[in-house]
Amino acid sequence: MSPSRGLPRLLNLTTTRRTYTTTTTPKTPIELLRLSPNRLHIYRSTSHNPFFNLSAEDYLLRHSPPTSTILFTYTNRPSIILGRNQNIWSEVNIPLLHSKEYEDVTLVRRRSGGGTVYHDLGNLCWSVIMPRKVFDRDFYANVVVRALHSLGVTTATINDRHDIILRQKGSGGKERDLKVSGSAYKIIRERSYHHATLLLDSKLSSIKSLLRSPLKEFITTKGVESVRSEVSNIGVDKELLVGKIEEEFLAANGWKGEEEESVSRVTLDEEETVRVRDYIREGMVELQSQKWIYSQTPEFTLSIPHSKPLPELPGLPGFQPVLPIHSKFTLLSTTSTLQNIQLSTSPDPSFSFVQSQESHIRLLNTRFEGPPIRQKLSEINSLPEDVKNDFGRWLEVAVGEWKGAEGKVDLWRNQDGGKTLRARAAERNERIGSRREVVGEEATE
Amino acid sequence: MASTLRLVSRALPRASAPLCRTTAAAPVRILGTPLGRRHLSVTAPRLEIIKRYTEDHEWISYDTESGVGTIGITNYAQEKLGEVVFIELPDIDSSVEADDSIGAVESVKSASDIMSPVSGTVIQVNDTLNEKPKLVNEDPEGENGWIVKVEVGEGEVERLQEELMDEEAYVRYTQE
Repeated sequence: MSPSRGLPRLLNLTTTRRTYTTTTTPKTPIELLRLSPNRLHIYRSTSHNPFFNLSAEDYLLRHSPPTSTILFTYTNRPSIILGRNQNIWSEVNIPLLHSKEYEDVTLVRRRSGGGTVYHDLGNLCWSVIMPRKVFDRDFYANVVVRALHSLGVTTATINDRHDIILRQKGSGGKERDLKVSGSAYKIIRERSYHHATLLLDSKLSSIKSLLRSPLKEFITTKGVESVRSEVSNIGVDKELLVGKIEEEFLAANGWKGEEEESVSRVTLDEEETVRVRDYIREGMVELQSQKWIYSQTPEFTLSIPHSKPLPELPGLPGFQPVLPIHSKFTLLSTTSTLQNIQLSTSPDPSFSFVQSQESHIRLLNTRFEGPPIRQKLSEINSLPEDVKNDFGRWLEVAVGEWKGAEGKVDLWRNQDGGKTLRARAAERNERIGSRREVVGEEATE
Repeated sequence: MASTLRLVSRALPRASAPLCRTTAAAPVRILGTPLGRRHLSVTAPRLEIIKRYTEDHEWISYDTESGVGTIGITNYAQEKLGEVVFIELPDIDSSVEADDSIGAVESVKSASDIMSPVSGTVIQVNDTLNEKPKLVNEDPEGENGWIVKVEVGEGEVERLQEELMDEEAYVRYTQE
């Protein structure tokens, strides 16, 4: 155990009870978390900002006492939350997301694994942070199922994908499963979390339309693909359910009551928490960077077949270009940058080779982003004008612009121009000198 | 059109064949390990493989001849994690510190960090895992399921031997 452990005890012996008067402001609960002696913690967030809630969750994962267990509940404003290793363009209907109707929907990539989900104010996120040794994919899903049962939702159960479903008896004794909660997990050294959605009163039509990509059929990805499920709302009151989940959480952890064991109950306010915890603020900056949202996309290939009308896109009604016969259209992208390009239309092998080579040279290292791809396409001299124009126009909309925080996020300087936690940590690790240079280049690219 | 052809043909020797990725010829680097690095440790005789385990369930097998440590996750870890669907690999030539994350394993909706047991430079990553992440389940500690090879930094071998667990200790640790 740590050598400093004996010190407080020693001080207790030598100092009798004294009352201190202090002029500093009292510490907020999140500042005291690391040293909290409590085993059980219940956190609620009043913020609807997905970047804040995910970063606060990450803070709880990494900075809570190693043996503590924390229940954290929050609700996000309308947003699409991708799994860590997923492809944006095959999971999300980007043209629809960028349309006027959905302009209030935020695109987010989380740090945990799994598939893409949709959040809005009718959705409750619950998360349990626990020691890695007791990590189990179903334990806390069962806790939530018990909370649902106690509110009369008796059809709630867990399927083999660790999701909570409502099992409905249809006509003729046929069972029908409707997914109401999707789970994902994150495991680090000693700690882990299980977090999940819970559809109470969400806009289900948004899930159906936003999570259906027009590019999906053309993309082959090495990343993780979502498993599509039929969804449903549960329709219980959120406040009531949060209370029940907290009760069941305490019961599942063998809590006997406040007189025997005290539980930390904390309500997180975004502004205050971000002010006192740099880690959370910097986590939010990183989550909003294009490097995380877009470039984290694993290697993939976009391959468009010839002689087949392309799907109609929101924003381009009735526009369905067809690639001429003999055409080849393949883009290979790693970290969302084009690495191999093969575009040709000619039936003549030697000229199609020339087209392929020219397109490769022109598009190499272009970002996988609508406008730059259209621009570079138009510069390919060996491709016919109409193909360039039509495909450029279609691709520009289908792939879309990169949104979120602007391209350059400096992970080394905070808003006041001081060093970030990351920069300070790197300085402490100066043992290998080249390290700073390597990572430093990344930050300014 | 003629100008296009000229432009293309001028660029031809440089352009790689489409859809054919080059893989780094990393083993060459191993031969290039500075001589001094090869006989680092007094306690480690030459031509020996030292295998150690971390509390985060990674293994490292250090080759005293080449100064290269091969890192992967243990059989115990892969059993706990379930079917691996994706591995995030680090960049070749990146420097890592002991306890830094050098990648992540995704399995059954969970993302788990892979921590480097040593400081050093990444000289090779197991590209095959891009195509077949399940190799980590099938052969986690063998020739197919390793994740990265690291040129181990100075002084790290001693630390490795002193601080990390040997097989016996690791087995005891997992049974606790």
